[in-house]
Amino acid sequence: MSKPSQATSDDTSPRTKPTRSILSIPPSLKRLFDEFPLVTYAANELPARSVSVPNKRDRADIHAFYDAHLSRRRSSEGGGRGGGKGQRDDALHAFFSWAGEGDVSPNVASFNPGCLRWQAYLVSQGIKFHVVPSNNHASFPHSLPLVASHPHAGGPFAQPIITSEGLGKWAKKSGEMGMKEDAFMALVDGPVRRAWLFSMYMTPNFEKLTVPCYIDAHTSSPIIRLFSARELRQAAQAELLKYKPVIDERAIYSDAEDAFQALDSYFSRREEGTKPTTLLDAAVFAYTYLLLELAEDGWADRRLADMVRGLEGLRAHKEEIRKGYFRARPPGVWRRSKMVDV
Amino acid sequence: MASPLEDDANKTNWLSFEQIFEKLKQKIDPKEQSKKDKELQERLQAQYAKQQQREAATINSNSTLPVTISEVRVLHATHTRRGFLQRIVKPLLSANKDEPFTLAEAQEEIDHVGRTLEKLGKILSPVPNVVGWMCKSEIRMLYMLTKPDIYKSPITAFVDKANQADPSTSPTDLNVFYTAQERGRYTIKTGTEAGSSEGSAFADVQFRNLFGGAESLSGHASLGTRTKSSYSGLFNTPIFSNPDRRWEIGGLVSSTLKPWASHEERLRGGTTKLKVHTEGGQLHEFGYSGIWRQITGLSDNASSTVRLDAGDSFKSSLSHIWTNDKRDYPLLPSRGYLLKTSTEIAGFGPLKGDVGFGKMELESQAAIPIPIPGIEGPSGISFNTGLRAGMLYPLTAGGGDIPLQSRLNDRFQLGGPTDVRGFKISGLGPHDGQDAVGGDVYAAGGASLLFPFPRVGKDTPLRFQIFANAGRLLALKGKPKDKDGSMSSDEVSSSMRKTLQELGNGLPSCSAGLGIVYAHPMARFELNFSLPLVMRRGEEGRKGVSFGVGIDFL
Repeated sequence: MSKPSQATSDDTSPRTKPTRSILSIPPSLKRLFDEFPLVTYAANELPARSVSVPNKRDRADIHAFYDAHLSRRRSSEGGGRGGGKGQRDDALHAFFSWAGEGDVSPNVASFNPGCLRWQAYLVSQGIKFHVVPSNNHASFPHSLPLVASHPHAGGPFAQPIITSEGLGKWAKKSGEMGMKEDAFMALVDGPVRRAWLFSMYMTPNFEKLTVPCYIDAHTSSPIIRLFSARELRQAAQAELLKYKPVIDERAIYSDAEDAFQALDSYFSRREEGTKPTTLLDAAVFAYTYLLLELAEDGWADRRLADMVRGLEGLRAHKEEIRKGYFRARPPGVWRRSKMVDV
Repeated sequence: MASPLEDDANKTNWLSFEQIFEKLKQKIDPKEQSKKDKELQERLQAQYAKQQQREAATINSNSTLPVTISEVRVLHATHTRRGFLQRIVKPLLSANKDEPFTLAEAQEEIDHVGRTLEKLGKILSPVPNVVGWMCKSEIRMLYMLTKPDIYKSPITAFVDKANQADPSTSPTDLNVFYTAQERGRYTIKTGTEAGSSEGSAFADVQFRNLFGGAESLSGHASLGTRTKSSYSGLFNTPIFSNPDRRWEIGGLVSSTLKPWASHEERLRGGTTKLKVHTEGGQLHEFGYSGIWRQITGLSDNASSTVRLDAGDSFKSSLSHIWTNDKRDYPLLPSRGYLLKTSTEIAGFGPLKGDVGFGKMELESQAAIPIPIPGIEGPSGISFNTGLRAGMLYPLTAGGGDIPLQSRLNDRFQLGGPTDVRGFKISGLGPHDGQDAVGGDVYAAGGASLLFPFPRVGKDTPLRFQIFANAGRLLALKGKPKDKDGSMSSDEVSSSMRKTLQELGNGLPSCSAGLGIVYAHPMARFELNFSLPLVMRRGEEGRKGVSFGVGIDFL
């Protein structure tokens, strides 16, 4: 009780004390200074290249996308989180992600499994957002994705900017994952991710898929493309070397095969009726979706894709999510090659 | 009482010595000294003036005397190519002329060559100050030079009668000798700098007269707090021995923190430039630059607008800068004017690159001395006024058909102690949260009245100033309606019209204040007290005292 009064007396004491430091401003002068500026107009408009909520048509598309999911889920269980009624239709979070130019809708899958994981997870949680095509410089020093939350969108985000790390903490807090899931998550983030890195960065897939996705869309300059491609490959190499001092192709693929098989049997044996809405589901989906959605001739090196194609449980898991929880369209480079029905 | 007497008696001997010491120790009365100096100066000057008059009379009376020049020697220029010098002295040699010179013409021509030689230094003041002519058995010209690059100052010319014993000479023949002491072929400079909110360490190296044709190669490296790192190299050469036409080619790698927009900008690129000085003292710079820019190292609370522009982009642009500087002393002008226009075109047509725009900027400054009635000569009071404006017009790039909207790296920033005082650095214009995201159109103006300090006088580079300045920085109006955020060319031009109209809407953001100006030979320092008068919401004003260091002030 005494605290507030103490605080106020502290506030007033320097004014009453005659021994004022030279640097402090006399109150009368401060009052005079506070008068300035004499006129304040409305704020300046932001430049055209700024993150703004998509236009009406795109917003309608985004809401329709969510409504399709929610109605489907409502019919089965009734309601999702986040997008409650009465929410303003322009209140959408901005999801900075690796995406093709102009892909603002959340229904276009990111070509980056790390981003796609969160994209699928947020959609399955009913959190409404629009996608801002971006690159890792935007989320420095973390990697994408990054969410710039909309103040009126409600939902779980308190801070204005949520990095991928922040998203991980938030997901952990919502606590849907048990010990078992954690162990499987380690498989996804370990052997599966390493195999993906090797397959996308160390094989001819790099030129055919990775460079067009990650670099060509961002600059037209051949010099920047050349240097960035080299940097990108080196970064992937460094990431692989973190695990083992030698990059052993056979070990990477056989580890991945084991991991995929373990995940396959886990999903096959899971209780009937379990909703695939955990972060583990989203993380596995991110890889299997990208591996299975691209036509066979779209790959320059299809070893990893073939590996997943042979696993019934993973295929069914991907289809379940794609049909019921995240009706995504494949990323641009994927769409270019002919789609195969799996 | 006796002892003092005794003492006095003892001291008498010493006193005479002490007196001498005292006298020696005694400081010379500065007034008397200055009076003496002045007298000496006056005497010398009078003598000199008389001598000059005599010389002028001699030359005048002989101005039509036909002379021919058979030999020109440039002494001490051991590292300069012969062919390079030949091109310079060619017009002087009578063998290259049909008619002999008159003495006056020869004088003119010798003068001209001397000027060219000295211009091969830094081209700061194109017209040298000819101190005088002396005429005994020789005519001597003495130039006061401003920082010659390859030759030491001053360059002197001697003219002598050709040796009449030599059968190949004619009676009208003169020989001309230039003494051009070459400077060291390289300099290395290292140092540290500390500013109001930054510190840095630098190393500079310059190689002069690289191939004997006044070519120079300079390298610069610095590490600091604001400019985290910067490395650059520049090769500079005169074209056809002409110091007024220079060609430059260079490269740059740098990394700079831009706290006003929460990011770090890395640049890697090259530029090439043709610099042409005209007779009237104007400078044209035609250049091409190709720069890879990277916006990275964002701070945690960087705004979405900055995040959107993060990443790589390549700018390929042609530029032209025209400078007409007629100010008496650019850092603290009391008379004269400056006009400068910059035009840059990026990405358009064959230029390619990731950004496309046309950028135009105008900078002007005028200084008028204000006389005080009743006081003779310049009063030291002057009125300075400046105006700057710029426009960034979106263009298509790399053969695309949609004009590209401006990026954070290309947009203008306004505000700070060197342009619109009373605002934080980049405090004006559109802000997204804390970040100054820049604008596509700006106009800023300022006026200041400068007074010399009482007692210190008008000849010191110290002034007291009262100023008011205003500015507006605007983003292109009208959000794109299209899905992918693009505007057609017609929409761009109507948006630009609207934006230009907006400039006049309401009072401009402005501030007023007073302060102290000190013009150091390297830079101008200002300590001001100011208050913002008009602002836009989001703009960052600065109430109170601020400090500014710079070369270009509004």
